[in-house]
Amino acid sequence: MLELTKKLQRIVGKEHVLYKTEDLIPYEMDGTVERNLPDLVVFPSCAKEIEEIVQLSKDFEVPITPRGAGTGLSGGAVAAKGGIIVGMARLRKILEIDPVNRIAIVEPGVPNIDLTSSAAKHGLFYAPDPSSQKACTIGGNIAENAGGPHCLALGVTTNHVLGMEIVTASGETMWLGGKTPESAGFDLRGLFIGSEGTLGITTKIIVKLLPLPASVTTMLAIFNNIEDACRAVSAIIQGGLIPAALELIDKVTLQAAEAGLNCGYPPDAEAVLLIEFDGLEQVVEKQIKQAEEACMDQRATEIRKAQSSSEREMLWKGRKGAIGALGRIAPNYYILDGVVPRSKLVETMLKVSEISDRFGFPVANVFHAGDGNLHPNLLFDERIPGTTEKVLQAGAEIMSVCVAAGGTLSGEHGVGYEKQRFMPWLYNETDIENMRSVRTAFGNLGMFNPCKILPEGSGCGEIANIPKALSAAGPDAWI
Amino acid sequence: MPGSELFSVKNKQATEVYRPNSLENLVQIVKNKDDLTLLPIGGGTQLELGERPEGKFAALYLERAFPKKIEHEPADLTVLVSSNTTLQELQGKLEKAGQRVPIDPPNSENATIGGILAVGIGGPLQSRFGPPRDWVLGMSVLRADGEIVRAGGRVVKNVTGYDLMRLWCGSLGTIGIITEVALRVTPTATTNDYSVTVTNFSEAKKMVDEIFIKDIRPECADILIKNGTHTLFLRLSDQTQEITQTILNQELIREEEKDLYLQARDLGFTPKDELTIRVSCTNSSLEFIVNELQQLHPDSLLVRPLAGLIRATWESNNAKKVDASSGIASLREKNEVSDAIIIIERSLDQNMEINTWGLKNTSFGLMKKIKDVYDPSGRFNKGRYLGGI
Repeated sequence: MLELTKKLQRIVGKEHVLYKTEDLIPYEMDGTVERNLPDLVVFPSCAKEIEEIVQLSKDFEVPITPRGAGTGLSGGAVAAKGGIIVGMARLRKILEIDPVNRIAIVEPGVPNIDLTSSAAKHGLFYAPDPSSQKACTIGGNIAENAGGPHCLALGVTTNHVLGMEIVTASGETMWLGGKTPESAGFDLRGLFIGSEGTLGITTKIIVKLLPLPASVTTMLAIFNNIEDACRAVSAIIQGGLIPAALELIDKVTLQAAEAGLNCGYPPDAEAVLLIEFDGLEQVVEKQIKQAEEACMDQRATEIRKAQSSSEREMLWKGRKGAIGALGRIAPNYYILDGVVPRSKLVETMLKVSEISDRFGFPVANVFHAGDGNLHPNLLFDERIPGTTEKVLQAGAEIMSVCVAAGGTLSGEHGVGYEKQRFMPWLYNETDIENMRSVRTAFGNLGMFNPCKILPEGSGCGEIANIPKALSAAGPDAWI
Repeated sequence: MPGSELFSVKNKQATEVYRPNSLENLVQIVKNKDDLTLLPIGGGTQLELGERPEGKFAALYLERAFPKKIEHEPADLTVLVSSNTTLQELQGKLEKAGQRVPIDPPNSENATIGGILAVGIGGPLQSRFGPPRDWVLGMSVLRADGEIVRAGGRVVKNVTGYDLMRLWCGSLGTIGIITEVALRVTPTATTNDYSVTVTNFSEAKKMVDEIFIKDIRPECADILIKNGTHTLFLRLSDQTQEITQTILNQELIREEEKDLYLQARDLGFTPKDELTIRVSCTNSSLEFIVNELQQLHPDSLLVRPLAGLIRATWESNNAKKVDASSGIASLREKNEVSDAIIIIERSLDQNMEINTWGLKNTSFGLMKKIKDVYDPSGRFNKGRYLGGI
């Protein structure tokens, strides 16, 4: 390892290689429960250096794991078999914003929010807005194919990225896609997005920017029970409306958010829908009216509309900070990311609450209802012996309920390390082997971000020192 | 086999014609140890796309290879279809619930879902709804070794496993035959078609930019240039018609029939069209490329600014076509358009040798590896894709 360390130092400079245990600890986990200590963390400044690092890892037969801001929620940035973590912290320049072509070229370590605020100067914005957008990076967003509350109408990361320069797992630098909407040959860009850092590392990214909406209206529909709120979601979508965002927040979360963030949520409500429309004023007005009627038909008790941009920001502050606020209720929480067909929302929510009752964990729900993307948060106290194991078991049951309802394991957090063992619930052996072939083509023979997405046999056992990790997931987590 | 003399592509005749009548039968054909490459055919509306097949080949008609299936879930805005379902059949079913899949490539009534996705091109609705691949939620594909594999699912948001759907869409059937597709659908909005007469391309392009920036969200915004006239075709919702008129300071002429829409959709793919090219480029290079193409005297030009697309078409007139093909080759070399992709979509003159896909890019080596991983012996569509894949 000493020789490898020296070689890495020669590539990126001494100060950009971490090797002391105390320096490595912050890099042992991401936003969820899995953790494992890497042997080295290295911060390259360009594609050339990344190429050399990948080559070295191959020469030394040491695993390599890319990492953005480490806000991921599936253990994707955890060095599951140790080895080298390649951090993107030095690659954080916005290289170009081109308002005429409505594109931006950025380095992978640029935080999502920085891109959006830079684009705003030109009357443009970058659509994907994960709740972690203040910290998470564009490179990480590509790895996870990140979504966010506003992806209901606008789509996820893959719909907004035109191309990227990457260093593949085999150590070659190349462009996938480019500045144009179409590129010749296979859509390797589309294949790479969402590959969770198992095929290569992005070094430059070209994204599409959209004009800022002409107007935005945000409203809160308040309900006496969560089932009515779920039915209202279906009614809105079936009525032909696709809101810009359609989020459900339940009572547990509302109370925590209100206590922690004073965002003006009704703490006595059983559930609220946060609904947003954007576009031309006259169009939005009509849509809001229609959504309002759909909610009232499903027994909404009250509708509140944000009257100013600051009121709107408060409503979103509560939503985006909701998970962190749950820390007020219980010391730990475990976040799930299942998806079900929209028509199965009500029955799935009932099953989720049945499972959490049976295991004795309160559950807080705050999620992208319009997409059917659930985020049940199981609240617990890891100091009580055996609780962590129980909570993971309850989580697995909830995921199996989603799959049984015709849904899937992950809507936006990725499979990562966390859910790879559940993949056989969805895909047969041939499907999984077929996915593994993609890795072979990119030159990943098992050492490039190992133990992620696809179930693997040896060496990918229980990596997590769970109790400590859970408490560390703390108040800075988002969904 | 009877009927084989009837099928040829790019002036090359098929050795065999297969018409499997069940999935088992199809699998059997794929697994057969003959030395032919198989050319999968859906509705057969885009067979001109691609190079001449390499070596001996068999035409493989998929029309009866699977029972037709359309499982629509209106409340979920999803549908599961067998790949041999035609777009018309699918839209007919979705229409009953006031929904549709916003995919409308040229001559698409008889095109099949599998074929449309394998080819990967869109139509006028692309300005608002993006390329067809954006509507795919999951797929089943028959691999060259006869195994059926799946990726994705039936829910509208899904990051579980690799996004192989993106790899399969637009791959021209070179790494597998699409058998079943789950699609996202959308409520059909009430819209009207309008035309605006403009004096030149630049003026029309400025209008489209203005419409986009002002957040009008037109379903279609195509510029047609034919016989010296320029027409801007717009499809707008009721509520946006008035404001668009104000923004453009131009009269919007209501088109009662769908003629203009169909013209924009099918331009380049009518029987008299002999050479059709598609350009994908950045917004800022649209005008330069349109000017360059005008010098090659196409019979028509279609520009879809919000999709970064230009389509130029030459009808039967040899002198013009020969000039055009050398002009296209030199346009591909120009620095000003180094980012642009120029694809020959249709070239009926068999004596004209012009590369369909243009230059290979830096990831071509990787594409080759993908092909080798999924279809090492070139069982599917050998030689028809980029760089002979």
